[in-house]
Amino acid sequence: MTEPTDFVPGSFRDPSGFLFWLEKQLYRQVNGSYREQYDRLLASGLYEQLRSNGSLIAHEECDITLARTPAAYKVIRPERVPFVSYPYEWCFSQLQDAALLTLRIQKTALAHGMSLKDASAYNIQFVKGKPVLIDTLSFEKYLPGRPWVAYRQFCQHFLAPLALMACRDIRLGQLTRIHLDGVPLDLASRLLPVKTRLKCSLLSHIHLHARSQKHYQDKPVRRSQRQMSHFALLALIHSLEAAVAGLRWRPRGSEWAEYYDRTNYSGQASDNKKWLVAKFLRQADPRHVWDIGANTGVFSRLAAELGIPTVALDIDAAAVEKNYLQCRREGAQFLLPLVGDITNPSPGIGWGNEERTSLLQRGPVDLILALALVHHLAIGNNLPFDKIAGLFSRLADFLIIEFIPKSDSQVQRLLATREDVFPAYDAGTFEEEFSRFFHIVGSEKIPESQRVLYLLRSRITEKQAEARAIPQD
Amino acid sequence: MPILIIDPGTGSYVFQVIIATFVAVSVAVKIYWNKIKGFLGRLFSKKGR
Repeated sequence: MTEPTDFVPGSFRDPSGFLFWLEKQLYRQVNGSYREQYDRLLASGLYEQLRSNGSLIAHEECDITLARTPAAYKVIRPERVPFVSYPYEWCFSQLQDAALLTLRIQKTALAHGMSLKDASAYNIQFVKGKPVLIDTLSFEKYLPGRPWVAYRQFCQHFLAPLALMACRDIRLGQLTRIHLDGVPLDLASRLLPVKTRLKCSLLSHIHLHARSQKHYQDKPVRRSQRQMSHFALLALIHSLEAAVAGLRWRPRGSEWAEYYDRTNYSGQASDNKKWLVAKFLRQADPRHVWDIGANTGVFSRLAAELGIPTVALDIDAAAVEKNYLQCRREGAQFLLPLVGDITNPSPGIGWGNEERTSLLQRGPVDLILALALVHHLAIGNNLPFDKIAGLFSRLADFLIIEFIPKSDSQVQRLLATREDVFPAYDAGTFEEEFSRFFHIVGSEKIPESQRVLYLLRSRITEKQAEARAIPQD
Repeated sequence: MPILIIDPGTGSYVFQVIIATFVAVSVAVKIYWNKIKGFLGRLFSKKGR
C-alpha cells in the first residue's frame, strides 16, 4: 500500500470509495463497505445496460495492489472525461439533459432492483457531446417500500435551478455556484413567479415541497414508518420527468446570440477569417483548444471538426444554448459549449476551495482562440494589454488572437457610450505588449477587413511546458 | 442495509410519500378510466352495428 497523497479533492464525501491519481492515470478505489452493491451493479446487468447505452461511464477493473488504503475491495479505472465542467457552467438545455439522464438512470436502476443513492448534478459530465453519469458508486440495492433518498437532492440540483432559469431569469442558474448542494427550495419558491403555483408539477415538487421541509425542520420522524410502493416510486420519477421536460427556455433578444446577424463585415471577410484560423490551427496542431468568447461556436467548430476536443466558452447563456442545441442536432463529439466569463472565471469552490476546481486550474490548454475578444477586454473591461497577454501566456502554449483596430465598427460601438480613455489601443502597442509574453509565429491581415490575426507562442520554457503537461480531468 | 450518504431531509422524505401516492392514484385512475372508456366504446360500437 502506498500513502494516499493524491486523492481527487471532490470525491471524499462518499465512504464507498474515492478517486485518486497515479502516474497520470485516474483510478477509483471501491471500498469493502460497498462490495455488495458493486457486485450487484455488475451481476444484475445494470452496469452493462447503462454502459452500452452511454448513460454510465465505462471502467475496467485493475490490479488491487494499486489500492491506496487497506479498506479497498476493488480498484477500477474509469474512462477519462476530456474536460470536467460544472452545472453553473452549463446552459439551460445541458442542465435539462443532465436531469433527464439522471431520471432515466433511476428508472433503469429500479428495473434491476437498484436505486440511485444520490442525484448530484456534479455526478454528470459531458463526454462526446452527451451527458454521462461518472459516479459508478451511486447505486444501492432497492429496498421495497423505501422512498427515494435522493428526491430532495434532485429537486435542489436540477428542478429548482431549471424552473428559475425558465420561469424567472436565465442568470439564476448561477445560484448553483453559491449553493454547493443545489438551490434551497425555500429560496426557489420565493424567487419563482406566482404563476408557477398554478403549474401542478412546480406547485408540488418545489412550493409544497419547500413548505413540507419547513414544517418538518425540527421534527423527528421515524423513517421506517414512511413507506411507498414500487408503483408510487415509479409514478414519482415519471412526475419529475414531466416536470423537467415541461420547462422551456428559448433564447431571444440577447446581445450575442444575434452577433453574427448584426456584424457588418462582409461574408467574404468572415470566410477569409475562417480560412486563416484553420491555417493557424493546423500549424499549431494542438491536442485541445479553448475558444474564449466563442459566441455560438462558429470558429470553435473549425477546431472540433479537426477532431480536437474544444471548449467553447461564452458569457452569454443564449449563445451557449444555441451552440449546444446545434451540437446536439449534429451529434458533435468534440465540442463542449460552456457559459463562462473570462474576466471573472469560475472559482474553486467547496471544502478548501478545491472540491470543484476553478476554470484556470482546469487548464493549461494547448491553444486558446481569442477572436473578436481583445477589444471587449481592453475597452469594455479596462484590461491593459499586458494583463491579457500575461493570463493567456500562462493558460496556453499557443494563442490565436484577433486584433481589431479602433476604426472597426464593433470597437466604435463600444466607444459610443463612453469616453475614449484608451490612447494606447493600437496595433503597435498590442504587438509590443504581447511580444513580452509571446513569440509572434505568424500574423496576417484578414482580407477585406481592418483586422489582423496572430498566431502566438507562449515564451514559457520547455521545462515549464513539460511540468505543465498534467492530464486534465 | 445500504448506507445513506446524503441527508434525504425529513420534510422531503415525508412529502414525497404523499405526492407519490397522489400521482400514483391519479395514474391508476387514468389507466382504469382509459380501460372503462375503451370498454364502453367497444360496447356502444357493437350496439351501433
